[in-house]
Amino acid sequence: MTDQDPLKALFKADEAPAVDPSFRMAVMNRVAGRRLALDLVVKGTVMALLGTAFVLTAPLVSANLVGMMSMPQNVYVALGGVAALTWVGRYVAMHRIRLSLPRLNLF
Amino acid sequence: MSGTPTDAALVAAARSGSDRAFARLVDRHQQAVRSFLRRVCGHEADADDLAQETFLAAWTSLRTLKTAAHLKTWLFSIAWRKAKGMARSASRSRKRDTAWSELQDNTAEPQPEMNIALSQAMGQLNGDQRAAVALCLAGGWSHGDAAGVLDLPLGTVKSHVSRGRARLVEILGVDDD
Repeated sequence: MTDQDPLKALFKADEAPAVDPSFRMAVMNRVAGRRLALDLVVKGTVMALLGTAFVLTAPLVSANLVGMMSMPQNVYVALGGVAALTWVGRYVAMHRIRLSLPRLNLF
Repeated sequence: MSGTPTDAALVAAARSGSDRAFARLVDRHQQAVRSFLRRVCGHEADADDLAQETFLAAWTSLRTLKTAAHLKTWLFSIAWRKAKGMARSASRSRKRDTAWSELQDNTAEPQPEMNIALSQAMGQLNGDQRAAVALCLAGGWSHGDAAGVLDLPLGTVKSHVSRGRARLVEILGVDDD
């Protein structure tokens, strides 16, 4: 097919625009939506795991604290534990967690 | 560093989380991907929707791209798979887009007569033929690269291009010198 080929000229006239900011914005909006969904899944899972771990270990920890320490000390330790969990929860909520997943050819 | 960054550099930046780099990749390849999909689908709104899905799929699985230099081939492979998938549910999608386009202002420029004729002529080719013609005749791809994108043997692609071209020339009545 030469440059003078009439088919080539027809195809050339039928091209999509070379610059299209609205198309780019539409793609980036969909990317942002996908990222938000992935973020929610990962963060939700981490929060659920943290919550489950807290619920399971709380009775054990509190029983040991009562046996090991006197009243003001175990209150401080318990408060410290809650503060640490809060900080971890805040970190998870505020930062993007990047998982190194195996290479899956989904598309 | 001066000049335009390569696809490989932009892919590396996008993989490390840069949206700007990915947006530049979209800018760089959107015309080719959209034009290909428009020729394959024959319906502009469907094609642009598929093109967006193609780039979204590319963003999601950017880590699976083995050689960043082959980005364009990889994007077209995704686009072709999406187009084949859409062909199965074409009527459902068309209804949705028709309903959507009816809500829009009718500000789009009317298509010139020959573009409509070309689109109709392309519609008379079968799916694989249309894709081979869109890549090799319209996009200027080599037969070998097109075979890679379409996942077809080289001989089949050559045959599709040759027959598709002959058919287009016949339907459109253009001089074939």
